[in-house]
Amino acid sequence: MIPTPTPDNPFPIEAVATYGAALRTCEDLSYMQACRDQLNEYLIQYEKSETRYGCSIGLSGGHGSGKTHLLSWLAQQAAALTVSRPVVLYAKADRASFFDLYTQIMAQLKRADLQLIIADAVKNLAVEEVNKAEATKSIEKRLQTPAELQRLFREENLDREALFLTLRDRLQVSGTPQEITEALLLIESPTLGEKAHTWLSGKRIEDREVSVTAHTSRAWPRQFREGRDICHAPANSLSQKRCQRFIYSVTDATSPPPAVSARDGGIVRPGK
Amino acid sequence: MTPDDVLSAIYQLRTHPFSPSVGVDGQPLQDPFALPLNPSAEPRHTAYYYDLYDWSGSSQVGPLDPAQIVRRFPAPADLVNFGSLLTIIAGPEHSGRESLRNLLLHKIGQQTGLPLVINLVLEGGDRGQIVKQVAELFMLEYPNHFGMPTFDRLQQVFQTMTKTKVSGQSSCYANLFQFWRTQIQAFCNRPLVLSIGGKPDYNTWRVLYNSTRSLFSCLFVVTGDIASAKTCRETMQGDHVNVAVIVAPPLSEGEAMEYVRFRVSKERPTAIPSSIEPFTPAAISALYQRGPTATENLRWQIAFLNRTMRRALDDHLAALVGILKARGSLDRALLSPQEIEINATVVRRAREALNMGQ
Repeated sequence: MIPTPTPDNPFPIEAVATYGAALRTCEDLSYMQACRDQLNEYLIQYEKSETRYGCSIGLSGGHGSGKTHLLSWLAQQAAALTVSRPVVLYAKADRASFFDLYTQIMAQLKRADLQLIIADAVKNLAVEEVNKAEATKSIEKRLQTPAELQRLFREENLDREALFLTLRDRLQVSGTPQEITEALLLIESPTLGEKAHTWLSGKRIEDREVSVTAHTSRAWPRQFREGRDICHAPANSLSQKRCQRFIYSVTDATSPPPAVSARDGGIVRPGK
Repeated sequence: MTPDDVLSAIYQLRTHPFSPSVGVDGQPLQDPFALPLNPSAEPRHTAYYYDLYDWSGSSQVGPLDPAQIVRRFPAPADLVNFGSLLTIIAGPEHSGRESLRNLLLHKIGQQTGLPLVINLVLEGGDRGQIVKQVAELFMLEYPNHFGMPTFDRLQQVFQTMTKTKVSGQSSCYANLFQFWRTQIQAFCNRPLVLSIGGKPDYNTWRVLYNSTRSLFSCLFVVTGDIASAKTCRETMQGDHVNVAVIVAPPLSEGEAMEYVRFRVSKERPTAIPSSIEPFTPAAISALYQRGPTATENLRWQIAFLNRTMRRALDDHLAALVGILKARGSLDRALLSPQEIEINATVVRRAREALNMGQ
């Protein structure tokens, strides 16, 4: 008969853990602390663009060796950080299709999360912009949060349209596919934002107007090449390579996204 | 003693050059620089235009003449013979692009009567839907100005023509607009204009032009994306259509100096030689000092210069009123050259206040 673990026993009774399940764990284990230190160091370096680096860590081990257990614990640790407020995303690579991984990750990014990411990016571009001139440098003091942007737009101290055009250009230079860029920039729109988010999540867009002209999914890449607008396509069927490029640009990493284990794919995207 | 007294007695200025309260006719005027200039609403606004525009992409329109009137613009007959004119005005926000659109609308008004303008803000989405949106906007606006054809009649045609979804590459529902043109010809004596803003997308502009040109004699696009504007012109020129691109660029240091000279001189009697007084070259240069992230020389939108110079002059006048009151007379001889000038420090301080939202 297997004895029931006591509350201070870090090892769960299940042989293979499920990501996100309640954890009985022990922070005193040195290998867990080493991983947490690694995460903290990465997040500290991320704060400044000059020290920021792309980061992937591989975990390998046999079934039941504690990979998922460790990941779940790290996710809890990251979620508790109130200063850098990282966004933890989890995906399980059960299939050969990278699109499957992409949709798992995107499903966890709510429209509000993407709006925050976009606002944060615009804020960073605004800081760069105001520092181009000694005459406007002091505006940076007011750019502590993205919420300040609206006031600065109204005061004509910042050019909203120019900042979004720069963001569009930067995303494209970073390799983000044009249709993804267009959709990301529509996220804020009161009329099209929800539809753009749905499309980015890889789901079908429920739109009667669109369904009239629905084509087979194999036709979409050709349509994108012809410059059709993203919201005209009822489903996002990006190729594997394009998804990867998008994820790299979202995580702001120069190296591939962290492949945490052979079967699990987790991304910790530092936020502020 | 008021700031206006100081402007007049010390600087021989009729009014504030960057916030005029008196028009060219000597009558009171609301600050023309508070919003984009609009001569259709206030004819005296024509006096405040400054030709900063790059007309090199526009053989059909421009430039401004010394009286700030558009020198060249197609006659109504040309628009019939050579087709509708698509004018793309490209430049950053507050660079004078809306003011130019308003001046061109004013010109159309002078040539053929007050235009009926349909305004469209592009967000994105299916181009067929966008063309339908233009049709709906027209259908709702037209009956406010003309009794015939009625809204019901316009709507009947709309419903018939849009029953089948179209997904043309270069145009959508063009027949609808042609049919409406025929319907309204006998009743509508005003030029119809479509004005497009919002998300820059030259393919959408092209589809809008091709779809609606039989109804709208002029289409305006106002955009911050200069590259898209130029690409649109290049791609459409192959179709032999009437496209003009006018760029409203921000001003370099030398151009800013000329603009300040122009504005200040405009508010002085013509007998006085033109100058930038009370501003100094150093005051203008202070705005053009590059910061840590600059990779090229700075350029500023005209509205940025107006706001900064307005604030600097306001602060300077307030200080001068205090000084002259203390000295008991409104006499220029009582002031030192340093007290008369607006130097770099005053402009920097003005900028700081504006940067802080004050």
